[in-house]
Amino acid sequence: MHLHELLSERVETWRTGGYPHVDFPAIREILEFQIGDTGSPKFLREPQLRALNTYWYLRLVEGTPQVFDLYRRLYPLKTDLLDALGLATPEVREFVLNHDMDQLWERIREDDGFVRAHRLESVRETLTLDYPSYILALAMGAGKTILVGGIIATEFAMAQEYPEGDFVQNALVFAPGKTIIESLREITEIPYELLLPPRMYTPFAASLTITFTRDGERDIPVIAGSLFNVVVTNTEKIRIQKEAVRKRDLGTLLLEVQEDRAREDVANRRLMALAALPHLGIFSDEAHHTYGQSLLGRWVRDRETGESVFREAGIKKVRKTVDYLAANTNVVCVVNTTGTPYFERQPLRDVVIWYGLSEGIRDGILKPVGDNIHAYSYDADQAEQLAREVVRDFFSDYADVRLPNGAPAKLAVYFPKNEDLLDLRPVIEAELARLGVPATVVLRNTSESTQAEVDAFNRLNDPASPHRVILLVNKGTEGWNCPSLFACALLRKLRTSNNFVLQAATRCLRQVPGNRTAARIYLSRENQGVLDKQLQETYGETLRSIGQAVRASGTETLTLRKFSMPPVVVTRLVRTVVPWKDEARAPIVLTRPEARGASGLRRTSLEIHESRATSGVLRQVGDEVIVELDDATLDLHSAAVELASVYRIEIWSLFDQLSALYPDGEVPIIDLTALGTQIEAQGRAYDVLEERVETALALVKLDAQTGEPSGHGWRRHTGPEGEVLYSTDITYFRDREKLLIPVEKVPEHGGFGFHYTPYNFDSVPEASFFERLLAHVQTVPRGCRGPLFHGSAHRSESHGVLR
Amino acid sequence: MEIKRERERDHPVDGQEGRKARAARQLTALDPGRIRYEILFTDEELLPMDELRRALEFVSLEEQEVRS
Repeated sequence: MHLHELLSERVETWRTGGYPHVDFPAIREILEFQIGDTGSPKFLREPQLRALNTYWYLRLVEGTPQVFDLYRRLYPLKTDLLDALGLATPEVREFVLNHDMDQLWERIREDDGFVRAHRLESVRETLTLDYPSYILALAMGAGKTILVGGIIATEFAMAQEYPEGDFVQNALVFAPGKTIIESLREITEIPYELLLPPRMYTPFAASLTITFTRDGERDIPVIAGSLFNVVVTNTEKIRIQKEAVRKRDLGTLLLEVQEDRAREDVANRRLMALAALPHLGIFSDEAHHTYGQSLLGRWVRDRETGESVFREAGIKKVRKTVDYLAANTNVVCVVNTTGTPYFERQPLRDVVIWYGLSEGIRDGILKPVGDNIHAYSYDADQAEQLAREVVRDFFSDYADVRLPNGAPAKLAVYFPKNEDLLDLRPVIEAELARLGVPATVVLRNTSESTQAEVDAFNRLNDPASPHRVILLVNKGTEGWNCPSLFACALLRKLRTSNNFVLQAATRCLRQVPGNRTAARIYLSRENQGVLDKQLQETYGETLRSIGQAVRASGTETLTLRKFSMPPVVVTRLVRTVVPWKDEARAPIVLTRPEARGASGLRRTSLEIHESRATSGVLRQVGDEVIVELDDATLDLHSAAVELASVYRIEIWSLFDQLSALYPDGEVPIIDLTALGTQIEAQGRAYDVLEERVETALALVKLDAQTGEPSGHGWRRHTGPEGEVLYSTDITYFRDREKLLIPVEKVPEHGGFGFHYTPYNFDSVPEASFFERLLAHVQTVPRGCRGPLFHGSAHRSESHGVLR
Repeated sequence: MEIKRERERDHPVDGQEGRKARAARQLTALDPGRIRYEILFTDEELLPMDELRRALEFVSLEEQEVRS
C-alpha cells in the first residue's frame, strides 16, 4: 500500500473521530467549519478538503515528521517498507538479507551506480531531505492555489490561537515562470472568511500582508522578523546564486570565515530577506520542477573503467534555495503541489495525497471530454487544410457556447515554433473571415509577444475579452487558468519533455460551476501517441502500477550454435545518376493535373478509457471519418511566383502556361505539387539508371580474416563434445524471463532453428508462433533449414524460414 | 514474419505501412520467389488461426517449390 493510501485511511479515522487533539483543540473548530449544513464542504472542493485534512493530520497527529521517518513509522515491517518505497527488486532484497536496513539507506545515499541501476533517484531524494516536505498531488483544475491559501490561512489562525505553538507565521509561495505567478494572484482573491470561523477570521484579516515580488526590485519589501507575511514570487527571482561564484574568484588569501561570509553576501538578497522571516512555511507550486535527482548531474562513461558514473552538476537551484532557507531559518514545513508527481516514470515518494485526472473528470471538477478527442491523419502538404478544418469545426460547435458568466468559448492552438505560427496564422485568419468572424478574435502569446498581447492574454478570463482563438508557442500550459477555454489544438509535433503535450491538451478541461458543455481536443497523429503515453503516466496507470514498474534485469549467456550458415542472396536495386550531355533542353510544357477526388483529412474520434488488456489510454470511438475540404486556391500570379521561386525558372512563361491551363484564374493549391513534379521531370538534366545487383547477406557475420563471428564481444570456447562455440552476454528484464527460451527447453526442435540459444522473444505470441512453425517445418523438412529468429530485447523480432 | 502489437499498426516506422515494412516489401518485389515478407498484428497471446495458416502455407509453398 502506498503512503498516500495508508495516510488516507488514518486521516479518515481522525476525521470521523472529530479531529481530536489534546494540545491544539482549535483545529477541530477550523476543520469542522469547512463543512456546511448539508454535510458537504462549504467552500473547498472535496479533494482540497481531503488535502487540508491530510496536511493537518501530518502536522499535529504525526508531529510534522520528515517523510522518510514517516515511512519507517507507518511501515514497521521491512517487506512493507521496501514495497512502499519501490524497493521490491530481488537485488535489493538480497542486499537487505545480507546487510541491515541502515546499510541499505546508506548505500542509496552514497552509491550512484546502485541508485541508477535500480532507478532509485526519487527514493534517494526522499532520504536526503532533512526537513519535512510533503507533496500534495492534485490534478490540474482541482484548485491547488486555493488549497495553498487555505493551508496558509489555517496555519496563521492556529499561530494566532497558540502563539507559543510551532505554527507557520510567514509563508513563501513560489512557482516557476511568469504564467504561473499570474495564476497565484488568485491567493489575494480567496474569500478567507469562508475558510476561517468568524472569531479567527477577523484577527487573521487584520494582520495578513501579501507581497508579490516585482521585476527590477533587488529586495523583498518585508520587515525582518515580522509576522503573517505571504510572499508570492516566481522561482527565478529567489534562486540561490552563490554557486555561480567560484572559490578561486573569492581570492586565495581570504580566511575561511571571510570566505563563508563572501559566499553569503553573494547569495540572493531577496533570499536573505526571506530567511529573516521566522516560522516560515514554504509552498512550492508545480513541484515536479523542484524534484528530480538525475537532473542534478548526468551519467557519463568513465574513460578508464568504461563504467557509467554519476557526475554531479550541483543540485537544482530551486532545491538548493529550499535547503538554504531550511538551514537558515526555522522552516516549519515545505508543501509541494503538482499534478504530475513523477520523475522519469518514478513516482515521487513524498506524495501524501493523490487526486488524479480520472477522479477530477468523474467528480465533475474537470470538463467532460467524452469522445471529443479528434485525431487527424494528414499528409505533409495538408497542414493548412487541417488548421482550417479545426477552426471551422470549433466555430460550428462552439460559436455560441458561453460560460455562465458570459465568457465566450475559446480555442487554443499550440505550435512548436514561431515559424509554424507565422505559417498558419494567415490560414486561420482567412478561415475566420470565411466564417464571418473578425480576425481581431485572434491573440498571439509567444516569447516575442508585445506587452499589449501579454496583458490581453492575462485578461482572457474577463467575460468582455474579445479574443477567442489563442495562438501559443511555449506558453499556455501549467498554471494557465482559463475556464472559458473549450478546445485545444496540437497540430504539429510538440516537444515531449515535462509532460508538455499533456499539459497543453488538457488545458481546456478546467471546469466552472454551471457549465455543461464538453471540451474538445484536436490532435495530429504524431501528438496522439505522445499524449497517450503521457496520459498513461499520469492517468491510466496509478501510482501503484508505476511504483511496481521498477524492472529488475538479469544477464544470460547467449551461445552461437550455428555460425557457418549459408548467406541469403537478395537482389538490390542500385541507382546511378548520370548527367546529360550538353544537349539543348526542351522548354517546359505543363499539363493540368487530373482532378483528384475531394481532398480530405482522416479524423478519428477518441475517448479516454482505462483498459486492462492494453496500455493505451486513448480508445477509438466509431469509424474513421474522411473530412472533405473545399480545396483552397491561389491566384495565377501567386501560383506562378510560388513555382518560379521554388524551381528557379522564368516566371512569365510559367504564368502564361498557368493562364492557359486555369482560365478561371484560380489554381488549386493541391495542384501545385503535381505541377512541381512535372517541372522537376522536365527540368532535370540527368537520368537515373537502375541496375539489379545480387548481394549475399550473412545471417551470422564472420570476420573475413579469422573466420570467426565478428562484433558483439563473442568469446570462443569448446563445447562438451569438442565443438567450437561462441558466446556473449545479454541482459533481459526478469519479468520477461519466461520469454527467454533455450534450445534445451524445446527438445522437439529436431535440429531446426536455434542458431543461437536462448532465443529472447519479445512477446508470448511470438514465442508461440515460433513453436508452431518449428513443429510445422518438421512435416515438410526437405530442403528446409527451419525457422530462425533474430532480434534483441528492445527491438521488434523477426522470424525467417531459411531454405 | 514480423509479429507486432496491434497498437503498432499505424506506427510510422514499425507499422503496417511503416518505413521498415515498405523497405522489406521493396526487397521482396525485387526477389519474387526468393524472399517473402509478412507482418502480423495481434493483441492476443496466440495468433489468430487465419494469420497462422498464412504463415504455415508460406513454409509449405517453399517446400513445393523446392520439389518442383
